[in-house]
Amino acid sequence: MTGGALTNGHVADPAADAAAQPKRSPVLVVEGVSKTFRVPHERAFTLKERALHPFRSSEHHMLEALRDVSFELGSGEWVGIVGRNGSGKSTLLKCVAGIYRADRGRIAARGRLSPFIELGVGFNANLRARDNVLLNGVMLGMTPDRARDCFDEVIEYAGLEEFVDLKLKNYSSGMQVRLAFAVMIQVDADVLLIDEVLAVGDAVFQRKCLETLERKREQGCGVVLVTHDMDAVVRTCDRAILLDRGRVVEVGDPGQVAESYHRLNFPGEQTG
Amino acid sequence: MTVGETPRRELLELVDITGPRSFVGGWRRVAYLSYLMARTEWKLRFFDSLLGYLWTLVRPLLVFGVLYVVFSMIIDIDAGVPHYPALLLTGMVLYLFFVEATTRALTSVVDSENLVRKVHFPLIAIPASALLIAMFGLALNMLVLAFFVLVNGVEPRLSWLELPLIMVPLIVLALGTSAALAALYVRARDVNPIWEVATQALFYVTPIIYPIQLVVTRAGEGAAHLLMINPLAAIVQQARHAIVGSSQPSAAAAIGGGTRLLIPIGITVAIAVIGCWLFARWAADTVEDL
Repeated sequence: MTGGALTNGHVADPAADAAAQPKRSPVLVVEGVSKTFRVPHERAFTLKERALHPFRSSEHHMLEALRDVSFELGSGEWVGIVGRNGSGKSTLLKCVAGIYRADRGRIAARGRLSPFIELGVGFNANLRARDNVLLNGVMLGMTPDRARDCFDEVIEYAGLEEFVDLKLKNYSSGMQVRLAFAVMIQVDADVLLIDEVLAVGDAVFQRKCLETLERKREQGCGVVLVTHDMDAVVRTCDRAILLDRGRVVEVGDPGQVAESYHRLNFPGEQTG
Repeated sequence: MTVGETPRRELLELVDITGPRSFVGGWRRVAYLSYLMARTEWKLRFFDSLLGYLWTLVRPLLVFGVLYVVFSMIIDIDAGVPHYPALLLTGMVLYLFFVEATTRALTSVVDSENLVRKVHFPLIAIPASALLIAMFGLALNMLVLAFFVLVNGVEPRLSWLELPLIMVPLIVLALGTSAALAALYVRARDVNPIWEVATQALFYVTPIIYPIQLVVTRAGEGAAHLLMINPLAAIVQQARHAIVGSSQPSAAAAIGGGTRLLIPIGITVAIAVIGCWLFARWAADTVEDL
């Protein structure tokens, strides 16, 4: 039993559930999700400000980051989410990851969900690789024992055998990213949420990452990929979703969505 | 279970994801996270200091030294009570534990913004790790206390075994207060200076520099009873009674009857419940409010 299993993995009555579900049942369901941020013009942080300007806190505007977004992710399926800056991609991912609370709609996942919104959460520059792997692993939902056991594997994967005893601050940024990615792939997840973190390390390491993710896909692991890299979307994803100002504009074949994305960015130009 | 045997994935139930939570993932995950974060913090804390961990021990002793000189030699406050230095140090150690745990916890959630915004995890682990650090310091300080108490000529007695039990309400009180402060701090940053003043006041309404007998002789029994309503005062008094024996009244005697002890106990429980409730309600706001 690992830490993540405690989070969201209780097994239902197998027979009943299997009968109720179609063969390729979704591992992630997002239904009509909306998210609005209150953006205050002037934030009242102290009691004095509150007392002097009791109504000021109402001076804010609403920023609709997501409007009625729905999609499903099948087991082993890769969905790319694309859109311009500020279109709500990262907000959507954070809602799915449980970091933000959606205002409306429903998000549900089957099995363990692993967010890679940022590599190396909990990393501390003054600690050595071992402590950082432990911290990061547990943050991502491993038990301490599991995180300790996978240490050698992590170091081998990241190719950092010679640098184990260095403090993280003495690592190059590429080395840090490699270490972080190596921890991330150790997490047993059923759904991976990846935000622009595929562009890690050098070309060799990038290929290694993609191969690893490909293996996870074969094992039935679903992936939601947020990226600006249309080539990656076309190459790896089964479907793509185009977001614009918080709305789903297009869902479908990655190639077509990539084209729409280009049209959205450069309205005057012809693509393809 | 490993991911290798994943056909069962289809058999898992769809579980709703409802946003940030203060208590998720079960107690074991909270415990792992608190412990790891506390350990990391502890490792880093004395990173650049020469004495390292020793500072945890030296600090209360230095404060104790100052107070001892002032209140025992210059201002005669000990009211002729035996083992005054032992009483003073007991009060200091318990009070400093409470202040350290709560002061660290106060800003902890806001300070951990970079974690809170990037990963879904039980937020209560953040103030809990601050509490763990303080508890570790307390354990070390109790050893030092034992040494000084012996030097002070107090005979070892069976009632010393009560001390771990007396620490239970102290830890519950510190946890509740920490959770409440951390949650309030997310809403209003004034809590920080207010708490600084409050801890100063707490220092004087807790029998630390004075023995409880002084309150009785100067202000009467009633004042001593009133003082014991403060849970920290009752805890310190009970610890003193356990350490030096009958020359110090127990908390029950000081408050004027065992049943009245339900008041400080009730306050402790109330603070713990309200603190956790506030934390559960408000702490998750940090994610979006910062």
